[in-house]
Amino acid sequence: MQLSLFVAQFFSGLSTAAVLFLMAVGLTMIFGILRVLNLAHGCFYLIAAFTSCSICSLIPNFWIALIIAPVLVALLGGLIEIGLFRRVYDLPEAYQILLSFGLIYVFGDVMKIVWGGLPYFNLRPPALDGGILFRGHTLPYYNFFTIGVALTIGLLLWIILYKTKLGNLIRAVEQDREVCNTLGINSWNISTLTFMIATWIAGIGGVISSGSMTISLGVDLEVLISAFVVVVIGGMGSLAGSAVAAIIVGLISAYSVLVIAQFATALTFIILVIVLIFRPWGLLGERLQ
Amino acid sequence: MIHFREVINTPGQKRLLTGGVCIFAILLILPLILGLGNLFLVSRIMALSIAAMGFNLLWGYTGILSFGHALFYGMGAYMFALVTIKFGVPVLASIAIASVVGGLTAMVVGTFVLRLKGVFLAVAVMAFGQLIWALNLRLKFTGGTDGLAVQPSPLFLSQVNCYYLTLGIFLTTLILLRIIVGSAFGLTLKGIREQALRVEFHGVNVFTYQLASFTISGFFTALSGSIAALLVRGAFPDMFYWTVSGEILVACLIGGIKVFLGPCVGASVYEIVDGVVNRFTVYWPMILGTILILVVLFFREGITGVFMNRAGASGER
Repeated sequence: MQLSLFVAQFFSGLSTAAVLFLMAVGLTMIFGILRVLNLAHGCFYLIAAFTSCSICSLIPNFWIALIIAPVLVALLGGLIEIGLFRRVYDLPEAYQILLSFGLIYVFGDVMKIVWGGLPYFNLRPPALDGGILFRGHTLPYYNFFTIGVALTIGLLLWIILYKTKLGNLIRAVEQDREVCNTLGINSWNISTLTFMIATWIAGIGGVISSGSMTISLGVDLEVLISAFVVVVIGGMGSLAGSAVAAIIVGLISAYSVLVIAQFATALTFIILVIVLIFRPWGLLGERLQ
Repeated sequence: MIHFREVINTPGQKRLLTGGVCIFAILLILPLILGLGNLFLVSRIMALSIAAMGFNLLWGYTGILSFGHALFYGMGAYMFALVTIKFGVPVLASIAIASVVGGLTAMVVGTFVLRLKGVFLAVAVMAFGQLIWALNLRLKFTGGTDGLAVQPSPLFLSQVNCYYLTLGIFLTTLILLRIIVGSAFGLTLKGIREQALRVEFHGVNVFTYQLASFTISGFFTALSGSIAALLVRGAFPDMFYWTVSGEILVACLIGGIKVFLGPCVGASVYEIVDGVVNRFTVYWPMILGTILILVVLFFREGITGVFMNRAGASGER
């Protein structure tokens, strides 16, 4: 393999990993802290992507969309948490899965009504068009931008969770909700906030993706499954695991496209199955029981 | 084994038996009443019921949640299509082969995933399912993204004959599952659901029983898939997609898992929303989604559960 191609695929893989990470980190937070498997997470991503396209058609400025759309999605997420998810925290997993499955159906139709069935492609900010020429291969600026955003979010999240009072509270609720309540912490507000942070990050992932790929109905399910693969490989509930697994999956799919393009998708699932057989709790997850 | 006389002794059971016979009689003459479109719908309901009942043996009775039964459903559909097309095997034999292969697949997958618990297990089965889904899209001999169209033998070109075949298989499934659930084996499964450790202490190999339950549920799910393939005249990639697992789960929960026939009720609701509401509005998924959310929030016992509570009888599991 040529060095230039190798480098080009490296950055392309990392930018895939970046979006995967943004999705997976929210999923894993919701699972780890709230103990809910949120299949509707991909919907928040897609709603943000569509919203950003609409915002850009009104005000042709990508940066404004990047700020507004995720916030709107986070508000939606907050409402969903308060109205629906809050009621199923103590139920068996099947009910949680089913609730989010129902949400997928409802959101899917709402998106069909609001945005129609047509694919969208967002305006990319002019500053991020083009790329660096490296020995005949273009390395798009947009890839670097995506990677940068994911790194920033990851860092931000780490600071919030491990260096602030709020982070302490969130991790306390993760450990034991009952005890938190008796200590006078409003664990319900913390849950809502956690859910909103997770959907906000998914929203950012959606807006960023809208600049690099075609957005259409059904993308939410694809993204959800990829993110799911990352979460399970990394270990459910582990932020660092999500990051590591996202990079692994991103790079492997970027390089496998060159070698066995036909089976690139299957390859990620093969890795998932292997991890599940030999290390079912994931690469960096906590071993249960 | 439960003795037949014992079963029909209570008045409630007698009423159930009469009701069952009436429903069977109606199902038998249904082709005279309904048009082809609605007959197809009833066939689909019965096909999905088979999957849902098989799934419920695993989930409702054994207490193991899987979110990847699409794997066995798709396997049944594709095996049916493959043996019919490549080897010209007659319909009934193809269905039998497809179901057995589905059961064996479940056995293999089960040996790996049953070491896990809860959500992890559910997701692990889904991982296997998605792997096969992704592979299937690229494989030449399964038709890739086009799937495999099947031209069944002349006898089964008529939807009415397909309906009767489905009815026969559906009833056989009901009887078989009823026997399984009532047997010592079924009771052990329920024991495992409630107190796995305790059952283990009684000298029962819990893993073997769980694997058997997994295999049986895979068998019936594949059976359902093969019938679906016969009804829609082909096996298509979407039959492997994880949303199919969701549909089976939905049928169980809407109907209620605490009652033996609950999954059939749920399957009916699902297929009716899918097939009938579809004719009036393109937004049927929204209606289905709303039903799901309402079931989770307010009617966790499902439709049959609500009626059971109304009748004052505690649900029999």
